[in-house]
Amino acid sequence: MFQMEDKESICKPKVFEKVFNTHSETLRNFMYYKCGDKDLAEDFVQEAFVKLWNNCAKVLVEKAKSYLFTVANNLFLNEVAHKKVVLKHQQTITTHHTNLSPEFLLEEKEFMQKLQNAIAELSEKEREVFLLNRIDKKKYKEIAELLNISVKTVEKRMSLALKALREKIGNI
Amino acid sequence: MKNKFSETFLARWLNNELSEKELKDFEASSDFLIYKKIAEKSLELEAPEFDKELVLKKVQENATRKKGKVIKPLFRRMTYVAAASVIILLGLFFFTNLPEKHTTSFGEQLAITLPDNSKVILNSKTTISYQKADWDTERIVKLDGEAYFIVEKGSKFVVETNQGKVSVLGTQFNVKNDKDFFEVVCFEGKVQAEVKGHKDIITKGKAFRKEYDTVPEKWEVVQTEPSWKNGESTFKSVSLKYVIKALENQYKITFDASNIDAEKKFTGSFTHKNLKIALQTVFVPMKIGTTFKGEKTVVLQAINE
Repeated sequence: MFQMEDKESICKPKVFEKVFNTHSETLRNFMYYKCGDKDLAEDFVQEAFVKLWNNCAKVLVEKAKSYLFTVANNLFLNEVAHKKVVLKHQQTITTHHTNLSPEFLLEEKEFMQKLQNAIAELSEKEREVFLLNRIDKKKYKEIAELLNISVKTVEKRMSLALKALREKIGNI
Repeated sequence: MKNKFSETFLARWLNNELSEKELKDFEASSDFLIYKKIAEKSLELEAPEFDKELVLKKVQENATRKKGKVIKPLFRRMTYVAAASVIILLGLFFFTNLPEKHTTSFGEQLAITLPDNSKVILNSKTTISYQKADWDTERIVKLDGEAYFIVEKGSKFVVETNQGKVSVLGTQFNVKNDKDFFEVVCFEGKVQAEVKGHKDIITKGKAFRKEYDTVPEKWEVVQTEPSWKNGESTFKSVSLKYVIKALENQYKITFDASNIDAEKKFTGSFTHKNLKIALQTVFVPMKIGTTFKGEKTVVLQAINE
């Protein structure tokens, strides 16, 4: 009965919370793919949402997503302007498969390690597109919207990322 | 092989968009297996844990600590849920029929999305209300003040004010009403303004206004959205008293206009960001002096040459 309307103003705490629940994780991941620093990524998310709240009267609900991504991206650009972020991707990324031969597992483990290193060496633009698609399962069109670029550009970056990964990993 | 790829080839492959022939050729190439493995294995990657609730909590703390011009209570505690639920149940019948209401105070603006995705942006000191329950059958918004509407296509959309009403089919327009003042500016599409028995069709780029019992006037506008949305109020030969009212709404001050001719027409605009500059831009060209009496009252005095 008393469910809140999904629409209306972001100034309503319920609407705001819903926006947070829908977009915070992708936003955090996106920032993580950029800087490779979990804490920094969370700080950006936090700042972006505080900013959204403070400007809730000016931002329409359906514009919230692109607002958040733009704000977080700008925060990121400001940060790297005076601090070079050292990329570290290896920790916490996990794989999940079971009951296979030890040799096979070792090979797979090596491959994953190679893959992760290669991903860490990608350019930031290639990495964010590649990981938003592979980890967050975003369609090219969605990524294009989030980053405010064309689908064609997303496809180009995606292809470049794949090519670069293939070259770095070498032959198996 | 690599060089034969077009610049989006791999992306399209990953998305299963290749033609059968393209796919066959690619599958036959020496690189195919490794690409396939990269594609499969990269799906197994995961981003680090994200503690959503902790971050939300931090956002809420930070958001409430920061006091802006307007203090907004964020996320009220649910302490009285048990007690309140009884009242809610009792009140259910009455509440469900109450209209949705949104109000802005001095200097505030508010963006709202209506149930059909139509958008309304309220200027300062404005109230709108509508019946959410009836929205599917009739789109009626009651307005007191000034608001900018971007209407989705659909059934008739009506804005009612105590002065007159505006009906439309999918469009963007600005309605401003005050005591004895009614103004509509159409930015897209076509609207019908109706005020005291007088009806007029207003098309894109046209504006309509009626003051008191005068004959309504129409003129053309070049902007594509109301200037107040971007922090400026604009007027075109409007009686000074309405400009004064707009200043009062924006800055929460009062004017003593007893010593000036408030019927004089004003054309121009004022900023919402700085009261001093706003007062200068309005009153200097009108040859009116401004003196503060206390913090919130401004006495206006005509300047003699």
